[in-house]
Amino acid sequence: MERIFLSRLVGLVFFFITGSMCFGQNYYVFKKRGKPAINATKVLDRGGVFSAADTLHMGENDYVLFVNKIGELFELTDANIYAFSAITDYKKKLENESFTKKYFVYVWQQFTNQHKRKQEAGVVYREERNVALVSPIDSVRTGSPEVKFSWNNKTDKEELFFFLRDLKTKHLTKIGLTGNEILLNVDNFILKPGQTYEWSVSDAAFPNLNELQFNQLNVLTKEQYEELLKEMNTIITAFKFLGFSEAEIQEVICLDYKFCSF
Amino acid sequence: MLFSFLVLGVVSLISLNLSFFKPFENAFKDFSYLDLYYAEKLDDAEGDINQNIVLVNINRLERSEIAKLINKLKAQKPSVIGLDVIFKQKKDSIGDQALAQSLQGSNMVVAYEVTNTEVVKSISAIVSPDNKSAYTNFSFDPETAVARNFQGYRKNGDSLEVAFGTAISKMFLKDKWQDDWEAYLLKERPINFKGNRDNFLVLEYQDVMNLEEIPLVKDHIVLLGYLGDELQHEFNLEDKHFTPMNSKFVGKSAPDTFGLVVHANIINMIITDNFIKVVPNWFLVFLTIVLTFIALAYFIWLAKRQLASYILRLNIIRLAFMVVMVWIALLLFRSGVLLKTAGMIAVVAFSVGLIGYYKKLAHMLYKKFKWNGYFYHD
Repeated sequence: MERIFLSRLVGLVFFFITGSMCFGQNYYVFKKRGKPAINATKVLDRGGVFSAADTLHMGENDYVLFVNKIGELFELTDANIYAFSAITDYKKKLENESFTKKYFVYVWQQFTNQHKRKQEAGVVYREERNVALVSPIDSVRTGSPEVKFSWNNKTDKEELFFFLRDLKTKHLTKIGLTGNEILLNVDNFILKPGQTYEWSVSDAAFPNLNELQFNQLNVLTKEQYEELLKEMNTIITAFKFLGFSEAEIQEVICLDYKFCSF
Repeated sequence: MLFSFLVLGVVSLISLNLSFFKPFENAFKDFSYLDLYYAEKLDDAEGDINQNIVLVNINRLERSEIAKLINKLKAQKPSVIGLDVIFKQKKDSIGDQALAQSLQGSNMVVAYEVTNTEVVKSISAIVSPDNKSAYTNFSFDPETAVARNFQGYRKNGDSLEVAFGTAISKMFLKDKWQDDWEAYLLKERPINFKGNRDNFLVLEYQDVMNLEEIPLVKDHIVLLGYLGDELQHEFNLEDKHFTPMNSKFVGKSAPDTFGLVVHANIINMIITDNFIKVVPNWFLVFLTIVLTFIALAYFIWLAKRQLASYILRLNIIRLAFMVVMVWIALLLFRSGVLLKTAGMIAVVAFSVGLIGYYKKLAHMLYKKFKWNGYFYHD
């Protein structure tokens, strides 16, 4: 009887200790690259806290290194949405090769002349400091009730201008914003079914529209959409038969047939 | 052994006094085998994070912005704030006044520099005499270009000056500060480096200003200084120094570590009581004599047997000795003990190479004076 009681007591204490460790622990941002965000809205800053109620939103090329109170590091590199409880799975793997092994490997590499030497070249790299349009790609047709426009801002400016031109009426809509995306509904006001548009983003409020790169977007009516979907059904069935997932099929059809859902 | 030491002494005397050898002397002046420890990442410092120290980058901020930054940081209640910046001239009066106000407080340490000709301080309109000032020089040895050592205190006439890292550590440790460290730090001591910029939490201006609360700052040490551009700091050279952490430990290279990071390493060493113990010179001399004697005894015995493999054995053992001695030195360094093996290796390796000449000398002495030795005797 005493043994059973003692084992339960030990279990209870263990549960209490581990439980309090999990719930009491916060993560602090030690390093970051890109624009990872908490709860999709608040940009993560170094030194900031990531607590139990938060979710972490990581985009392409984002990087976060968290540290907890006891100095453990957690490294996140992939674009995804992470819950607080998932962070423990990303504990940074540290090199655990022994000191002596590392030293003698180094000596052996020196003797056998295996040490890699960096090639030296007298050159500088320059990339275009512009706004790269990401999605929707050019000449896309869509029947989706909403369209998410996204781009990659490689300029130093935070405030950008989104341009949407109705090709029929030639009306140009301009929206000033910060961030890398905007979601517009097909609301018969800004976006109307059956119309073709051009869209672009610039860091200048009054850019030369003739020089600005625009992507074309065709918003389909319900009838046009259903007709196109019928045409695509054979391809969709074939891809399904080959074992592709729904998301993969959508991506292929969007890229190759320019028929996208957003 | 006496013969080899005599030859060694003559050779080193010649090399020291001939200006022809100066380039070689200069090339090896800042070289240490132990730099291999950091350069080849033999240390296990990758996951070593000291949360007691937070670095804040002032980059190219205006004085009014630095003032805002300090005020925001002070609101987080850090234990100590160290400002590794010298404001040498007046600028705009509003910014200067804001900065002077932000520097008021008992937990602030400000910096000055001792050059060969003068002491460079911030202007009195910004830094008041009440501010705790400390010198930012790492070492006062004019011969060395690598920030390898650190002098924590400096006697200047009757007054005792304190180093930036020492002043901050003392303020942070409070009662835990050990009084005997003052005498210990009056001499230059090796810095126990724990990491570069990546091993510390580095906050940029926007990080500090965007956050309402920064829990990692409370009760910790905050060091403000120049850490280059957030994304391109590898290419910024201002206030960058050569340290043993340079990835290229032999040959030409660019300075590798910001001054603020060197200070952070010094502070880390002091507050964690992680000093490097240096093996005394008398022990090095003793060990060199013992090892040279053993090596000479073995190789003289081997030479007398006139083995065909003598030269091969000599070279293999000499090489193995060097590799093992460096390994032992690195192993000890990892445990916080600095054993300088370069001289020891050079003396032993050079001495065993002189056995052939010693044999010739012994032969000559035997023929002329009937001098009995191990090689030639009646």
